[in-house]
Amino acid sequence: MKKEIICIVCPNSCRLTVSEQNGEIIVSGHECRRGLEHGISEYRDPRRMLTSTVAIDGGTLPRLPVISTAEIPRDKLRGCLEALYMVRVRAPVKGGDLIVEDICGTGVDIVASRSMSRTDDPQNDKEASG
Amino acid sequence: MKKIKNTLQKAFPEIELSLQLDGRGILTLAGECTDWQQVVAVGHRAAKLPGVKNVVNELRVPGLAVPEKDYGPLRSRGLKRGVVADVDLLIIGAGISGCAVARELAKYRLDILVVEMTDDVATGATKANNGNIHPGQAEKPGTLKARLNVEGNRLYSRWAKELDFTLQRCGAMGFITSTLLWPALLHGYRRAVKNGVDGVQLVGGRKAVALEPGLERCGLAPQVKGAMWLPSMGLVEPYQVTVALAENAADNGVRFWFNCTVADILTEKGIVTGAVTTEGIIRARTIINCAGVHADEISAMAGDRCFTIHPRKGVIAILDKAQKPKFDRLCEHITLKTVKQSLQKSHTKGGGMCYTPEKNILMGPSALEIPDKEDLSTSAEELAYAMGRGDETIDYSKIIRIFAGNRPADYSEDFIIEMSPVTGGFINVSAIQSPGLAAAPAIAKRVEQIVVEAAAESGAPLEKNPRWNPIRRRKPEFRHLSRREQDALIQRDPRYGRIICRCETVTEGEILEAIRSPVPPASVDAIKRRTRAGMGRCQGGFCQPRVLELLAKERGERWTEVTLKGEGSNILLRPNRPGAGKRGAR
Amino acid sequence: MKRLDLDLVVIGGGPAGLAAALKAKELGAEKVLLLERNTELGGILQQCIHDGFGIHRFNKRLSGNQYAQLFIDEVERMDIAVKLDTMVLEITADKKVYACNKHEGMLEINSKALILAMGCRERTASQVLIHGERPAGVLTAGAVQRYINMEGYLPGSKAVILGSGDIGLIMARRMTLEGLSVQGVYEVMPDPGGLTRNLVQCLDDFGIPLHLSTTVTAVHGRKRVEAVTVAQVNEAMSPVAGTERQVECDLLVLAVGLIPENELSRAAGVEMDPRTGGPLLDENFMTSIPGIFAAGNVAVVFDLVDHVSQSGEIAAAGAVDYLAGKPKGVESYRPVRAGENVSFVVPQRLNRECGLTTFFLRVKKPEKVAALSCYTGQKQIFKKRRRYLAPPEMLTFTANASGAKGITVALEKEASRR
Repeated sequence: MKKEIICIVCPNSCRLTVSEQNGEIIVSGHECRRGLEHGISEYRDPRRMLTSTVAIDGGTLPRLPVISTAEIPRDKLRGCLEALYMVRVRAPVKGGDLIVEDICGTGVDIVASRSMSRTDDPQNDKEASG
Repeated sequence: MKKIKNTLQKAFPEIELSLQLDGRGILTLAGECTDWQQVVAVGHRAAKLPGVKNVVNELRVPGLAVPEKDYGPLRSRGLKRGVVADVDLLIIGAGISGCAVARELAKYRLDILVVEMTDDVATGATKANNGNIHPGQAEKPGTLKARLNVEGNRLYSRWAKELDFTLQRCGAMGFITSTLLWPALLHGYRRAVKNGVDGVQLVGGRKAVALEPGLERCGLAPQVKGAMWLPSMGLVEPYQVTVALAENAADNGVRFWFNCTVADILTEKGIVTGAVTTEGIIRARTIINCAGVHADEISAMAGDRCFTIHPRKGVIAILDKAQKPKFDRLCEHITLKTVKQSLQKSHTKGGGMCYTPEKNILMGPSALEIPDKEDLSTSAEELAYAMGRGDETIDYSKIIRIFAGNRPADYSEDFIIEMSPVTGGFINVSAIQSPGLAAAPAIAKRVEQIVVEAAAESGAPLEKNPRWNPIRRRKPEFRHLSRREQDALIQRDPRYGRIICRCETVTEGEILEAIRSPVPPASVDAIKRRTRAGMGRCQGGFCQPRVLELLAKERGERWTEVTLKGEGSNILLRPNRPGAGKRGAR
Repeated sequence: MKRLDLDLVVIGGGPAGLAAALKAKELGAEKVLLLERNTELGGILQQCIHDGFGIHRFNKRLSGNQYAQLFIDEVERMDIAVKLDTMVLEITADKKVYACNKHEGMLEINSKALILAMGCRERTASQVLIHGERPAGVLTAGAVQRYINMEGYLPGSKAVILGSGDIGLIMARRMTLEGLSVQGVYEVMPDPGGLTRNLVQCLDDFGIPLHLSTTVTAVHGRKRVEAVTVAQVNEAMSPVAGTERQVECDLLVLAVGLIPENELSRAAGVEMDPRTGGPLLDENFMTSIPGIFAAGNVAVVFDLVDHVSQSGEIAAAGAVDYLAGKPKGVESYRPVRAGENVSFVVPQRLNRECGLTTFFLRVKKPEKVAALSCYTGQKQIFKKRRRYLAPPEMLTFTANASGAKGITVALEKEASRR
């Protein structure tokens, strides 16, 4: 199988062609070693960060943004998203709080990417009056 | 009749015309034209012929579909619902005319209902014009337009006082920089005098410069040779006037039904008995047709087919407030070029450059005859026309909003304000195009007279409403207050301390007060017209979610139910929910 | 009316304002007040849930929220005075600030120095001359981002995006993940406006087509968007007749550029630079009014938040010096000239003794290799070879630019070919 990959290692955006022959991965079109490595990893196991939101009750906003602690295999992103849409948390939350541990067996955690206080927290009002 | 046919056939030999003329001088035209502009040209030509009072234009263009509203299903829906109201007076349309008439007639002991097909007042031609309260110098002497314009202009001062809206008597000036153009100035002056325009004066160069300091600022002062000075020229925000009229009418007992389309008019023995609407049957003894571009359809429903509305689209561009108007008055530099332009057919030239009471420069409107009454699209050509009719130094990057409105023009190009001679109790207030806004107070008076006379004739003269109160007070507008007054307002009512619209400095208090109006706004655009929230340079980019939130909360609606401009224009379709991400990552 | 006296007022609690307030406090400024119109700090970062923030500053790929949270936590720890839900209505040339909120009413604040950090706003449909109808379903990318990420609502089901800058690309991915079908991204320019990384991870990953040299010319639909007309454009950016076609959609997302929000600055009489849309600035990011500084997207639209924070810190350091009465001889500024293939440089002018100065600039046209050079008069004070230059990517460098002569910043082509 042959794959066309645009390298994102640097702004040069080399167009890589990656193929597999007899169990060996062959990359062409790269101009540097990092490009070669990128081509191999994108071919073998493309990974992406996952960011989305989950429902939050009692918070100053109805959605809480979350982020994965590491990249997740690209073909697992959709399953992870579906799982995240089922999650509901309660305010208050601190940035970095664990939301889902080892999401969908990927070994990666999902954490809150911000803090959110309760909507009835007097702190919210106090700050306004400084 | 023969003469009419001969003249028209000679002027348009390529069209096979069939004509019908009734005893009232209503000429019905039929045949096939090559394009829409020709349809309109034939109509205009015919309306000018002696013996023709007005034109019903059935000319068609093969291959060009003229969208027509299908009232059939709406009518069945209404009939199924049965009688839902029984009133003395039914007003169709909540534009400036409908609201002005409603407010005027609220003086009497009458049960009045206004029905409006859209979700708010002032959504048609009323909201999409330049807000000029014309002095009346431009109208053809002897027309109803000329008379009601001058009279209406005069009455505006009282309206502004009673209804508490902003009226700026900025005055207008047409000036010349070449003595060769004195005849043009004189011609305009004579017409203004003939029309009875208040305070019109011909002034010399020095006086003109004294009246308009902007001439000095832009270096034209030494060249100004003379000017026509029209002190009665005024500026308003048309929707502000209409909301004020509607609120005052409501305070005096008039009811408003929105999202209510009239599908038929009911008559018995040549006299109106009511209307079939999408809400149901409304019984009424008098019906007043203020339906704007749809007025010809309503009149036909009442059995009085006596005119055709040919929509004339006007595109307007609003500029950022940072672009300051060059002149303090509305000024026009009369040159050979502008004189030539005005010698062309006057009703197709559109407007020039002016500003709004909040000091946004307004370019246009353009003027384009179109077949579709609901077509409010804008195009690059129309915008270029609107932008080209003023100061040529204005660049497009200053535009913050482009929009359009359709003038409800008939072929006589005059107002139609009369009790129908065919259908008793049916009053047309139709073909109210420019200067309809300026003439509105006089139009209302004239309708009042018609209704009062008809009642007297019928042996049941109208009684005055003893509780009628002509006074309506506007709600505080934060941006117009001094810092001290702003502080006092917030101390009294903290809702005024939160700014929702940053560009126009509109507070939460103003939006909440607008929502609690006796004629409450139901959509984001309706809030915009009442408070200016979203009317600034970011066009609601920042404040729309906040306005939406307030509307939903106050009206007890879900966020997804809030619309931009009435039924079917929901801003949000659904909440994020489980199952999202169907297309997902590969 | 409540009156306050302060040393430094920072207007805007986004990334620029947060960094400025923190830096000022760190450098010893005493009476510092941060004013924010929103009900929370963080500015636009709070709706940027995607990652890619802070690569230069923290060497990490944080989400916008995470980046903001680091600063917000620090502002709390440093006990910096903050007024939320407080809108600044006016600033004057003598550094008086009028602001209001629900709890205190109108505030009249006298400050010795000001830092303007109000950010920017998005260009709208009328501003890019999109014609046709005006139905519901035409929104800026920022508004869509807010509705989806913060409010939890979807404003459409089938979207067309105009503009291939990073904001447009990020929203293409975000909407796709939320279940909208993105019909395509249209870009009026011949080159994409966003980073390759985003082209790959936001478009290619999801099979979303990118149409270059193509724009949206008209919107169709009277109540809700039903379709848009797209057309190819020629070199003069005008639509080419005959290339129009309709694309069905119920949402048009506009990612067509940002405008610095300088209405307050203009009204105070701050002198503006028509090229950046921001104030004319010196090496301390001080405006033409002594004691009034600008930071972040008010100064110039940056593309990396790291630079936004950096500009806040430059302005804060300048403001602290100003408060300490250390003017660097403002008797006459030397102009900074944009030389070969440079569209603008910030700061636009320098004091004689400006010392180590950080410059921000954009190139005019893409270039594979060029030498980023800086001169005072004829003397070269900085030179570095830079690769893969393109207008969407801001360049920055630091050099000691003290001297008597004018400054020129250029990207020299021939010098680098070897």
